[in-house]
Amino acid sequence: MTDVLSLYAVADTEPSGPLGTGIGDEPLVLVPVGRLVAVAGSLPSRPSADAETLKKQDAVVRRLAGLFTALLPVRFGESAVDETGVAAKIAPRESELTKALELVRGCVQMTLRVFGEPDPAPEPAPLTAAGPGARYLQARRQEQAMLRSLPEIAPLSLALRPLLRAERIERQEAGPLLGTAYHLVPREGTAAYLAAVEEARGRIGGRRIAATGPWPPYAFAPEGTP
Amino acid sequence: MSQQDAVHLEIEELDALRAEIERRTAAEAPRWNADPEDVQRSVARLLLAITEFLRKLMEKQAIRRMEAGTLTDDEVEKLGLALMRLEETLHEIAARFGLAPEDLNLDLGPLGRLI
Amino acid sequence: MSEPGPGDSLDVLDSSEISLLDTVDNLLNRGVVLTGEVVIGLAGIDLIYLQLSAVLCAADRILPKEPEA
Repeated sequence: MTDVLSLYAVADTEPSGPLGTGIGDEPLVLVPVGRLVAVAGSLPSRPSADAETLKKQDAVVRRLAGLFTALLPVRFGESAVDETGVAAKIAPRESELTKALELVRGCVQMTLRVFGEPDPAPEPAPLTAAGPGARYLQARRQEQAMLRSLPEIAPLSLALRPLLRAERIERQEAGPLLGTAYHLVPREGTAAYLAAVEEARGRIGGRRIAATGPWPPYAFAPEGTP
Repeated sequence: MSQQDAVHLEIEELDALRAEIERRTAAEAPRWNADPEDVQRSVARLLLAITEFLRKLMEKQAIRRMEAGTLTDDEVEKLGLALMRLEETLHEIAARFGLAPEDLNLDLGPLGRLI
Repeated sequence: MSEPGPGDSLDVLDSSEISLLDTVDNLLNRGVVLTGEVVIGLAGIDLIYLQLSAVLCAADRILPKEPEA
């Protein structure tokens, strides 16, 4: 029916070369928003999320990542009616997007998947607050912190720490996948990263890990609610 | 160092991955369909799920501000009590419709990840 | 063929299902989120399209600070 402006990524510099085409072979354009710029392409309809299309989008985002000093991939399926619509979505987020771009500049994402048994749940730390409401929040905060930790790979985490600019961890509540660590690594540091992973592979209690990458920094977009 | 055995997965782990991939690629705008056989319960479930979603969002913000030190002790206590009571109330109402807390997990796609 | 180095493991893993899961995870679960949406329906018919764009923000980042009492 009506064309949509599909969004691929956000950057804060000029591209070092031509943008090329998007997933529908459409010419990509830059939409300036304040001090930022969005990369977009006009498609006949919102793209559907099948494996082939997703791979195509990743290929486009990778190519774009090579054209800017810092780039934040946009989630698949984001679109606006026109350039004004693009600006309306991005402008309110300008300051956190700027910070996130600073963070990822010159870096790539490595993804570590951890499979195997969880450690037995640790004794929860005592709740020290004075009132029941505050203790409730303390307990919820402890739960939240747990979901962002993977103590099972502590020897590996220790070895990787000096090689990372940032880390985001997502622990699974059930299943063979124990959790995932998304690592932000300077572009030249991937060989050292993989070497450290190989070295620590046998020291994590029989659990298995799979490292993939380098990826553009998908997992280092600003978190949902600012 | 052999890269050939870089990854060895059990069959069940590959199946779990396959299921995960199928689940994710099937999602476009997530859909919520009320069950026509039991519309009342279905609508109740949707309303409770939306409230639960907002409760989790508020909880996350309360914790963030508690950690950042931008709330007084009194505010932390009041917020904590209010959120605790909200959680209890929601689960009580859900139980009256035969719904467990897990039934209130609304998959809002990208929005769901805000929690 | 020469002894593979640490960088070559990327080729070994690239064609595996883990890499596809990562592509799907990266593109559908990560990345900058600008819009939240859900479609609400009844009897298999889509009735309501709910879209939220950049509306969910922390209040203390957006609202002016209240003056001290």
